Amino acid sequence: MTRDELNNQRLLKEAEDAVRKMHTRRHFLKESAMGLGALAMGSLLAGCGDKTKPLTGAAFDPVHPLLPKAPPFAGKARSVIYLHMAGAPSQLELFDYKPELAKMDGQDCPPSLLAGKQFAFITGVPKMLGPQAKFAQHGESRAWVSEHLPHFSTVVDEVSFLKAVTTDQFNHAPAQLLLHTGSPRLGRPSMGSWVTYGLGTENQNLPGFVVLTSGGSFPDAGKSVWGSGFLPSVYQGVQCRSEGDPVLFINDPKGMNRDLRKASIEAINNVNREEYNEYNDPEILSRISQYEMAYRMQITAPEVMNINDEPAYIHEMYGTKPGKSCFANNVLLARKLVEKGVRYVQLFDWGWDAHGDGAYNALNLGIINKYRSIDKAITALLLDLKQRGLLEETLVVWGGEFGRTPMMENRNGAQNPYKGRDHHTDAFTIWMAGGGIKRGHSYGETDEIGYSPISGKVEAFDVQATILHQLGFDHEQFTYPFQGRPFRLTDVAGKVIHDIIA
Amino acid sequence: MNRLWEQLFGTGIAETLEDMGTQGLAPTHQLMLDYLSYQLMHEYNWSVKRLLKEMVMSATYQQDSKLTDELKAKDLFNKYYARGPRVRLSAEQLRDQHLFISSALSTKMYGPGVMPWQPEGIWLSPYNGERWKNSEGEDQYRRAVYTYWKRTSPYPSMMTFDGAQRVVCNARRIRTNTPLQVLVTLNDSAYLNMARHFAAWMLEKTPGNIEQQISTGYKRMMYKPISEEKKKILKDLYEKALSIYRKDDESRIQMAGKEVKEPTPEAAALVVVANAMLNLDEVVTKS
Repeated sequence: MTRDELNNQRLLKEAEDAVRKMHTRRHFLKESAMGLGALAMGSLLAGCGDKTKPLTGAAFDPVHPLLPKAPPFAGKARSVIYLHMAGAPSQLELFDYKPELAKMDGQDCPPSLLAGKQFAFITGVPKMLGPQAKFAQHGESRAWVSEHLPHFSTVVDEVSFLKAVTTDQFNHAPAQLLLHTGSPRLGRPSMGSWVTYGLGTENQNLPGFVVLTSGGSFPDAGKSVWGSGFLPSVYQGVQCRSEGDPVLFINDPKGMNRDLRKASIEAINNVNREEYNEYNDPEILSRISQYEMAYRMQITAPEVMNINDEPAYIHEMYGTKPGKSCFANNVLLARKLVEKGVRYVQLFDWGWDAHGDGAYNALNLGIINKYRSIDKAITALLLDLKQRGLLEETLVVWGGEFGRTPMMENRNGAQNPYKGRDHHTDAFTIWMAGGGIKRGHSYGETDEIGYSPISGKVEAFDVQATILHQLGFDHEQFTYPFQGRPFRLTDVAGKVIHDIIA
Repeated sequence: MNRLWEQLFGTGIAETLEDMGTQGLAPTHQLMLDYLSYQLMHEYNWSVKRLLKEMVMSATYQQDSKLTDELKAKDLFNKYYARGPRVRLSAEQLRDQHLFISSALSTKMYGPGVMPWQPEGIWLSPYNGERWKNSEGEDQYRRAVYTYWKRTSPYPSMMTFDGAQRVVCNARRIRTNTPLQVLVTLNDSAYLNMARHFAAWMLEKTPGNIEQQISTGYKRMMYKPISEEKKKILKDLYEKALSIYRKDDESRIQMAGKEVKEPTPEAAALVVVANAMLNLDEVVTKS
């Protein structure tokens, strides 16, 4: 055969292959909700290796990217509320009771604890610092909770504590990224993005992944902790606010009433219908439906984001401050959002970085206000979800990005002016409740001064694997193809913590 | 070459821009890919401009992008190029185009990034007093490429339109279509401001006649005359807005803004129409 003939033969074969590929693709799209699709499908369907095998738990439909999807196996939880105390609260003042540490208060730190260790600020030989709180056991589970959380101590029988969580990042931003995206560096999708990618969301008039922040600052890692990384950006967290527009750009401009907005959306859609008659492109119909959806979202979102209509006892229960921006308001909003079918609600409350270099972040001064600002709200959340029958299907997670040292912080060789602790990667506490998690349970133990785990050590990947498990995913199968290989939230690690699953 | 093709047609000849190896999708037109790559290397001496010229002057690119039922059935995704491309503009293109239409675009080049309008409270960085300060004057209307980019707090309206956060190398953006995008082009002050500039432009070009204003504005957006049906729909919207703003002075002044010469009821109503015009599918879509 001549070269030309060979080439033609090759082209013919490729054309046939392409036709086959198109055929399966169209077949798939017909099966999906509307039978429409955009141009981006190809590589998303072609996973690694066996290209006929669909992605586990998720097939991306760019026209209806947020329609609810069933997980690969039946999950206990339908939605997640993640309460992140940005800056990292001290486990030693809240849940990890260490009477031995009290005895060492004021003594020099033993060299064995410092050898080969690196801290964010501590240099030289710091003093040990006893627990800055009185502890007592509560509930039938006899869980230790400090005096700082008097309300929360009444609901300990609802939660499972993880007392020996570890991380390998001792700065805020990378540690937050590791916990929420599975990598300490920027660029990976956040957990909420993974979850909405995998499950869609149940209320199309609200975003599927909502982020609420309080405490006056964003977490150190910025919006990357709710970014979509390499997943389509439609899965990024949507920040909702209790001050200003509840969702960005949701309010009509001043001078335009609802009636006129309705008329203008109708006009836009009518012109678009004219255009559809001419162009016949299904994407135009999809745009028309997006405008209708936006109009509905403009009604729904401000309603949900308005806490003023809640009864007085609810405000009392949560300790809200209507009209202001605060953690308690956000917790109440989280309950309302989950009730309305939002898949993943992520809260960040900034200001827990208890170094003791100022009164505002001293364990015995400023941080006490932080305890007070969350105590009622986190308690109310569990009780309120329970009384509405939502706790069973809502997974609530509370924690920081790392723990705090049993040593008092000294900076540049000098004692800090107030009582504070440095960042500690080896042990901290996270608790989970609802969504099929064991009630009144504790897993993992630290040594007698709360420095290192002695049993039940878990890491961020294990927490992620467990959250995905409760939602109905096998974290090892839940992947997305990127840069030539399938990626997963838990990277190459992660074990489901079966001990805390009911 | 494949990426340039994607910029023009919306999809690469090999769809997976990020991976032309064994894990990617096979090209639909291998011969074309080979031919144009060869041209770029040997004939055009790596001149991107000449390659782009060849592509945009091709009969393939210049085809009408209308779909027939037959094309829809045979080739919904336009893999075989029996029609011209039809894709939504990217985040940056959208800003630039709307600035141009509204006549507010600044062509100033070079210099540091600028801060176009962004709502309060988007930047809340801990430990430093960094603040987003809305740029003044001409800098408010620079092209998207000059928008100040902070990776941990990117410009929100661009992110809504599938912009990349720029924290990871992203060879291809996945285009989506969501109600949040609608809210940007309807309500974002930056886009509302463009509508006001656009209304001012229409008022100045053809004072006193709404039908002409709509026709002139439409022609500026689309480079073609408006159909009678579309004109009537927009005119009806204008009449409705006008009846409201004749009665309600506060709303009239708020809607008209400062970009028009006088905040008359007519000007306010035209801003509403301009806002709607800048939201039309045919305006946010390239076809």
